[in-house]
Amino acid sequence: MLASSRRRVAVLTVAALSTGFLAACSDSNAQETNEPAPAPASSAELGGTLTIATSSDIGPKLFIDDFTAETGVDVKGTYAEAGALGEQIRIQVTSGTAPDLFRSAPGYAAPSSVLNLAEEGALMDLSDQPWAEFVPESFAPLQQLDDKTYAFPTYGQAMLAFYNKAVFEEVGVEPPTTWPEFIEVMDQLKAAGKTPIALGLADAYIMQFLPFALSSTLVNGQTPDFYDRLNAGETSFVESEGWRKTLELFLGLIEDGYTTPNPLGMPGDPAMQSVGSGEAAIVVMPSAASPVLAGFMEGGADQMGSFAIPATDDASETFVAFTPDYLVVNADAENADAALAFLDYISAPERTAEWAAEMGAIPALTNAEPIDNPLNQTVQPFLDEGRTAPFANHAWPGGQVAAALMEVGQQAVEGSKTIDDVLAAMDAAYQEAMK
Amino acid sequence: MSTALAERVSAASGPQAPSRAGRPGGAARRRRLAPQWFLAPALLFYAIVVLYPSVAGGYYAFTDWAGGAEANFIGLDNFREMLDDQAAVASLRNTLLIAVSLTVVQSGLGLLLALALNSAIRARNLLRTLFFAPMMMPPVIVGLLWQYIYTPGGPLDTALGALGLGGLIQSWLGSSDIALWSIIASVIWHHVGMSMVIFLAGLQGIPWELYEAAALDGAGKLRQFLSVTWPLLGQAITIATALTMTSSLKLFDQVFVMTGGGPGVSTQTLSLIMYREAFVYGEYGYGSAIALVLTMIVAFIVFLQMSITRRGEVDA
Repeated sequence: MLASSRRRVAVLTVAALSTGFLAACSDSNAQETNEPAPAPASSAELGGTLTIATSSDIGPKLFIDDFTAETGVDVKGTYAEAGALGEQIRIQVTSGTAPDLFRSAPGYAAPSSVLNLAEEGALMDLSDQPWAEFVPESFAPLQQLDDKTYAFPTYGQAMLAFYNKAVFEEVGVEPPTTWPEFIEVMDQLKAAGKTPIALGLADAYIMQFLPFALSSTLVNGQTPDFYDRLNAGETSFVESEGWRKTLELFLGLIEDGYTTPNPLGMPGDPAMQSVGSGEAAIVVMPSAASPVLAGFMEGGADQMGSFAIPATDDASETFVAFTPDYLVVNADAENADAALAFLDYISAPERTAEWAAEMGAIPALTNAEPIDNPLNQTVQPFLDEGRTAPFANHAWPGGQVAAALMEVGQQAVEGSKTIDDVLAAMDAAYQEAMK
Repeated sequence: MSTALAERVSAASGPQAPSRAGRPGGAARRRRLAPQWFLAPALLFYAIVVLYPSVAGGYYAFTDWAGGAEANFIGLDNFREMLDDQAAVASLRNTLLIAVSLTVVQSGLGLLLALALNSAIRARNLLRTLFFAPMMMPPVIVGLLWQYIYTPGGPLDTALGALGLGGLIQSWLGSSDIALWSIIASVIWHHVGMSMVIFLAGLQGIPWELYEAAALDGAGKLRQFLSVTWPLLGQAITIATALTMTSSLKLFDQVFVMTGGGPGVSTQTLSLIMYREAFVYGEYGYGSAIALVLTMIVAFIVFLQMSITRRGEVDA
């Protein structure tokens, strides 16, 4: 009897472990903060340790040593993949252990995104910082709440088609500028025995890339007020011609055999490698991933080209999905002066440019020194003409809508769901996230 | 006991201990309590890192806590929402399917391997090591390895093609009908060595004389297995199936790495949606409710399974 009771207790205890970890991150000490942050302190007033958490050490490591030498601030960095970092930051903010300065996603897309954290008073108001006047106006919806700026845009990344130049030369095609040209290029690549577009949908997040690229033109470009109206409850994804067309074009590329066969079984990395090896020609992805693709190519970055994916018959209608990557300051930062000073330090035009160039990205602040590289040459005309739009999920109220696109979208690729099902699922997820 | 015998025993016992009546409470109780004081630090640590989070997790299951300062009590709303959540229902179905399949197939294969490697074959130690080796790999690495093996045109397809079995090639992780079974196969490859080791330990605890006696009675190999091996493996079966059941009900890593729950919701598990709701969406209350349901399911199934398997246990 006693042994039996012990067994029951042991079974229940083992099972209880699966709930325990969720509760270990309770208690919040986030406080409302409405006061704008002070101007950066002078070097003489600085000291102590500055804690930073970002998704890559590539940018920070360029400046940490010099910043430390100049200010005496010891910088302790933590680096993790963006998704994992976001989850970690969310827990740290809740438990009051977040670093002084950390990476945050734009808008409301995730619990650790800028505006979600700003709404709960977890971020410092950066409106009065010297660099704030150089933040592009188009970023405002992604980082401003009640006209206050809560984030420093370190660089911008664009959703582009990256291609293997050697394959394009071998087949004799040029980057297209309209949808009919795009399909013509697809046909020629296919006829030459190449996989036109490498698509690795086994990694569900890749499901977003082509739709985001196409919807920047078909939704943001054609109906600029769509997300405002969606937010106001005046329209829906199901009613959006732009989103319907986006999914028609995307699924059409798969059905017509322009992508990796069985894309749902292909992970992202091997798909990218197939472009590097020349087996496939094009992969659509954020520009921040381009250094990885360059690494797969025999000729490195010189062998890699990029172009904006057209979605209509008119080249002047093409928009580029372009979105910033952010650093934010913890409202409860232990060394807020050092955090503000670090942002001020890296906001210098040459440093902003250097950070972006090293990341394979585009400088985000308007006063940054221009970068003369192929990627920037692809994106700059669209920036100059105001033909950019944030990644679609950054306008959504939570991660649920993107998850619906990925889940039901995969089923649509498989043929078990329709475009209407995908759009309805996105609407339902949007409503759920708005609760 | 006779009076004489009682006197001898009393004399042999040496001096009588002082009567307890003369020292009420006191040293004896302190001696009894002393070991428990030594346990106190460990119990305190356990309470802080296990009991408190578990109880608090149970509480948050009844709130709308979204990661901020506020956590409002909402009764059973999270559980009602779960019943209407297609992903949660699909993940429950998948979780149970995984648990039953893994428990039956992995335990069965583990037993077969143990029986084969409990014989006198020369390479048995090498083979035991080879079959157990995958257990030493982290689940995430196993997930990445098998994701690569299942890649279209990857090693598995190439091997099938080379064997003239090209007609069997599938979209292993890209088809809703097959992806879950592909994951189950990878988990079996990973964990079958553990089941094998448990059964081997059980087999080696069975006295050889029982087999000799059975043989003298004219029992063949099958009769020996059914009448000697199987009953005496009862404890090993209980342990192997309980461990497989609990780990498969909580399966997360390989699914997360290999499919992320897709295509669609075809490989979603309760652990996966618990993680997603809590850490991706920030719905900690709802995530805690899923965790609580998973806990209840694990407790109930494992209790049921152990009750059944322990009935068949026989001591050697």
